Amino acid sequence: MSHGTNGTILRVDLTTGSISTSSFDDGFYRRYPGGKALAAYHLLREFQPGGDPLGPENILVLATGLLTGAPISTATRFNAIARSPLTGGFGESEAGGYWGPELKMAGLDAIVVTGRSPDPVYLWVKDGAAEIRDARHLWGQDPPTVQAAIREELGDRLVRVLQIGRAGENRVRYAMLMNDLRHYNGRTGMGAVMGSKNLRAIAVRGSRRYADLAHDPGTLAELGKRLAKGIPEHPQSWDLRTKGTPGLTDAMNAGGLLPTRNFRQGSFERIDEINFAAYLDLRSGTRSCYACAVRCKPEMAFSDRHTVADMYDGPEYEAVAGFGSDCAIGDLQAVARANELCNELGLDVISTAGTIAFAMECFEHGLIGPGDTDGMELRFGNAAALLELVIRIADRSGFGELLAQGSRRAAEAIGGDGPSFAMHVKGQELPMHDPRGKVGVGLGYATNEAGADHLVGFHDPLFAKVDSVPFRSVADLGITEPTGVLDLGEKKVRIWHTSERWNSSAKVLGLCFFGPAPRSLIQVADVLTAVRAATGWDVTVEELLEVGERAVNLARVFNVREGFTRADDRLPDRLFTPLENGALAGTAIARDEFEEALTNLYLLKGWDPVTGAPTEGRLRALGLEWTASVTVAGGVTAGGGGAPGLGR
Amino acid sequence: MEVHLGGHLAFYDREKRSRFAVHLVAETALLDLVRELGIPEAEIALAAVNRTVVSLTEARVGDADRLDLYPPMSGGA
Repeated sequence: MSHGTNGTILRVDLTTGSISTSSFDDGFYRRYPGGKALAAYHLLREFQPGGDPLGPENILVLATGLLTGAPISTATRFNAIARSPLTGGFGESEAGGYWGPELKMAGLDAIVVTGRSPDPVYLWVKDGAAEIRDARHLWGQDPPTVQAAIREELGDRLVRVLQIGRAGENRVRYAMLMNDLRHYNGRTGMGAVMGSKNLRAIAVRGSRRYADLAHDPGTLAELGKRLAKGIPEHPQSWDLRTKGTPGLTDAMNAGGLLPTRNFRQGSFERIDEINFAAYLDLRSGTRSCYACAVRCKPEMAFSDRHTVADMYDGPEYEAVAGFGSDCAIGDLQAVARANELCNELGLDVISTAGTIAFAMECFEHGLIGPGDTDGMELRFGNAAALLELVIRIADRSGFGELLAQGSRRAAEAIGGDGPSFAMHVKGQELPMHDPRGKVGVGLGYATNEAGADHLVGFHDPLFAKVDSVPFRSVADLGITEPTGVLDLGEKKVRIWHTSERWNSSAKVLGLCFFGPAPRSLIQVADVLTAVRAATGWDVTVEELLEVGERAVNLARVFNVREGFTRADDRLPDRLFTPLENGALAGTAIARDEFEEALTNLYLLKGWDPVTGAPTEGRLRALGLEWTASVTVAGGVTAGGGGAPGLGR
Repeated sequence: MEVHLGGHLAFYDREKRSRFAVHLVAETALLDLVRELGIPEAEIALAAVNRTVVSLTEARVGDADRLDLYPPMSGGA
């Protein structure tokens, strides 16, 4: 008998209205335990190459991690995976909150959604049974109204609701999913995919307990108690609880890598108006995810020049930097309102901010003018224009229609120098971490199958000093020698490779990155204890790293099949040019060093350094020989998706 | 002088303060001050005096200065 999983996946075809389940054995789960691995397996198996990301043929998989719902802090995450309408490649986004654990308690490990409903619907899942319900009356409503209406209809105020907002209904390419209003699968446009299926929400309620699933629930409970008790004594967890991600802003600015004016600069002259001291003046409280004692999630409530209610999350650091310094807006109230609008409308904060910063730079350079922007003076620092544009993007109205396509497509349409101002990888906008100050992050941006993402591996500063708390915590992963934040040598590449496999395993296990090493509230040994107690498997560190690597390779094979090559693993040219100001003024990534590091990384991964495709040997070693029928190193052998381009 | 302990460095202050003042009777080595404050050297990734990045091991500070110390920073959420 399997432990730690339900062994069951729900399948919903919205075109026919059919609902079924499929079951898998323990051997299957040991290879694809949950989250990214489980979802990517189904996407790769079932998606027909070249299919329209916004067509009924796309497949949306929502998968809990192996440990999601376990009574240990940070075991809250689930993955949303589909072909991305933003990148045309592997789409992926994780969220915490309560929905993932509730799905696990409802007796399901994942939901696979196919087809398209003729009319708006929502899905109601209770203890393994599912029902498609009419949502025509919910379409166009704001998220709190939808959540309240669903709970009212179902007569249960504890129903957990995953839903899209207006942007998802309108299929904005970077629309997101939200659960319980405060937790977001932000990246790669999973909200647009759900909206394209006329699926407004998925409501879930379960009555199981994780202890019912676990091999050794007593050990899990003991571990959970120990971790929760240790948080006040753990420096990084204490920091996350007391400051959260907004505590990053000051350090990024001081270090010269706070993205400012669309990544032209690394330091913002109005930092005191968006830094953590300013943040504390507006913060109204903090909240938690399911069973997590870290409690890192901030919220704001104020009514002054702008009004913000504490109904949604944040702004987190990404919003503070994205709408603040990167758009040169030294007004935290406006930043918080932009963040709230994104949440209310269902937009990814990072891509929204990055696309608007791009447009601001185009305006400053005269590539677009008021005649293009509905009369707005779209200069850096114009908070009123920022707030108006967020709404227009969600509604795809006026100039917002162009920006709703993302910065890559908008840049192609604008032409001229426009593409050089679009800060994206594979079409996905850069998070607010400048690789010119931590170059390993650049390797992650470039190679990640879902486009630029800051959670692919460990950020370089975490393993730069040998006696630091984060560095000491990764010794069990075989990382024992520090490297500098700007080093791109072979040692850095090896560390990066390990960190990518480890972070990917966290996406499979359902652990938030604020838990395991190098954040180190949960030591490597604790992760092993948790997996063993959950499943009864005698797993090792190497097996967990391999699980993570397997998930990465599934995503890579998906991209290869859609026509992606090494040429798509490229950073924006701007990152190879010097920062204009701040502590890193004059610093740029050396292109030849970066390309050499990429080659070394491919070789470590067992990928062809010319094409970027996994070799047949590596796939076989990972137990992925079944994918060899669709791709081998050197190119696509079956089901090729054609040359990459804006059409995808 | 004004001291700012960024990120989790405030954890090491006895009162968990992020911002406070200390009085220096004379110019002193930054590293000596850091040790006096009880901040583990290995946890400091960045030191700035009067908003200019300095060497933790070479800089000197005086009572009129502003000191910012930051730990290794990552990202998330």
